[in-house]
Amino acid sequence: MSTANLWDPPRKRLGVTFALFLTAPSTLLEWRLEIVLWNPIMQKCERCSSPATIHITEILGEGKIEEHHVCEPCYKHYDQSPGKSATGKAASANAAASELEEALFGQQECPDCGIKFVDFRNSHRLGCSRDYQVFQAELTPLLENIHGDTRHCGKTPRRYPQTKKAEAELVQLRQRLKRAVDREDYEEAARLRDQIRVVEEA
Amino acid sequence: MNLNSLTKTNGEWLRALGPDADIVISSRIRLARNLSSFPFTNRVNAHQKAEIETYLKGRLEAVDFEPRLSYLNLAALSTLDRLLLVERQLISRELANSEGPRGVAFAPNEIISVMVNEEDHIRLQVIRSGFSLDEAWQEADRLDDKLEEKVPYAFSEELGYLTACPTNVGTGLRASVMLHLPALVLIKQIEKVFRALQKINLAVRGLYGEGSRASGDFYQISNQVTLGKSETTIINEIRDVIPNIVNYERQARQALTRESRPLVLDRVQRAFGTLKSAAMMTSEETMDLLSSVRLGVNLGLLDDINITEVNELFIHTQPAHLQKLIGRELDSDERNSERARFLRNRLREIDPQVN
Repeated sequence: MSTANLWDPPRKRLGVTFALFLTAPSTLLEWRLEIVLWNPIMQKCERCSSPATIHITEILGEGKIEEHHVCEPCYKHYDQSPGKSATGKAASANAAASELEEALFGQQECPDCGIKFVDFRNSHRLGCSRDYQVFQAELTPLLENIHGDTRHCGKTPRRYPQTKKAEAELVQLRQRLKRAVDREDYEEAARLRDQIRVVEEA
Repeated sequence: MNLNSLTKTNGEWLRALGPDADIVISSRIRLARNLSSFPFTNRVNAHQKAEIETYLKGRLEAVDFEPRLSYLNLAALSTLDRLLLVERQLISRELANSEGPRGVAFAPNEIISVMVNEEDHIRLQVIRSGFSLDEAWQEADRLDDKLEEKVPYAFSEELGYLTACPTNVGTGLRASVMLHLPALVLIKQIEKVFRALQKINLAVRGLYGEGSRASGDFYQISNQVTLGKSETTIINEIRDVIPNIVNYERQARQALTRESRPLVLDRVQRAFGTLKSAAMMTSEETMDLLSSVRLGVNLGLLDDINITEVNELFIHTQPAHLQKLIGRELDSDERNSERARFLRNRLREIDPQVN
């Protein structure tokens, strides 16, 4: 049956394709390095007015660089334009791509839950609510893609303002509790547990 | 709670009441919520998971809401019992098959259920028979308010309710309507409907949600967008499109009876005949044949059985229900022969002239 798969477009866009193109001008062989990067900054496609989701830096050799910003449909055309061979591109690049991904993304770690953005990309699940702040730059275009919007305009919990402060305190306390349990300091853990209960009941 | 008693009824989603119930099977509202001070379910350790469960169980049992919810510890249930709850649409397959402390609180009428430690800490769901999205939303909203008095939700002013998967962030709302569309499938127009729906950002799924096959010609239509629109807007967008699909299906049914009556009659009676006489029957085949029978009854081509009885057969021939009714666990071959026997006996009870 036909089910719209929400993940397909973002996954493609999020992926980094790393490819070496071999072009053969009449005299000598020239190696061209093409890196297709997903870039969180929204830009317009240089061939049509859709948002550009693919950003290409072509290294032409001798320090010469060309930059292109296109949307996915236009990229397909770009990809087939003269001088570019699509064959073997993906296959040869896969291994290198994942290493490059690792190096380019996923360095920043959420101080609360410890995930990196690359973990989210692999599991499609965030680790905690703070990730929405920590990975805001990466998530914003993704939200734009999925929802066509990046701002909530629905229901708000009634006691939201009052709970906000307590929330922050609870996060702190629970982290301290976890650390206390990890180092088997059960006296401290018991104390923290009581403190958590007090905040929760308030 | 004795789960065996559940098998005696159809459950809310197959009760076959309410507006347009011949085509609109049920309406469902689901809200995803998380506790602000814990990591999401996929990042909590066993200890925290147990803590979340204990905490939410207490809050759910104490929530000031009628009907009262009773909590069921899913880790303590057998695989078969969990599957039974899946078939009754009270829990997701994902929750049934996951591990560790988790549970579900639900009302005896099976309209409301709240899953604990699913992909999000809280998945609150209201199912109503027929086309009743608004009623389902009001009920879900009311329980959500009551729960929120006791439970601090993960919420940001900018992004709304924060969820483990960014596809649910914002309202955390999935509104869906389950439709029975056998005529559109028969006249091969169903793909057209899907394409039209996808263009307006609505998703089409099978009977048991994400990734499941549309067995029995059951389709779930639901919203994909959860951020940037209010709950009412999201619900209205679905509510407005359903009558069009219902009309398409009605037109397709009319066209079938007008132009291909002998063919449809043949299909319906063959389906009914097979159900009455087969010796082995898979659950998929049963669904497909019952779908034809259901169409036949709705078209007035078959009066040996009524819709409630057909719906009951749909649920009772599902693997877990069947095993519960037979009273023991069965392997797949045994299931297929027991299912066929069950159908033969049941249809003989319903229509004594048979054979």
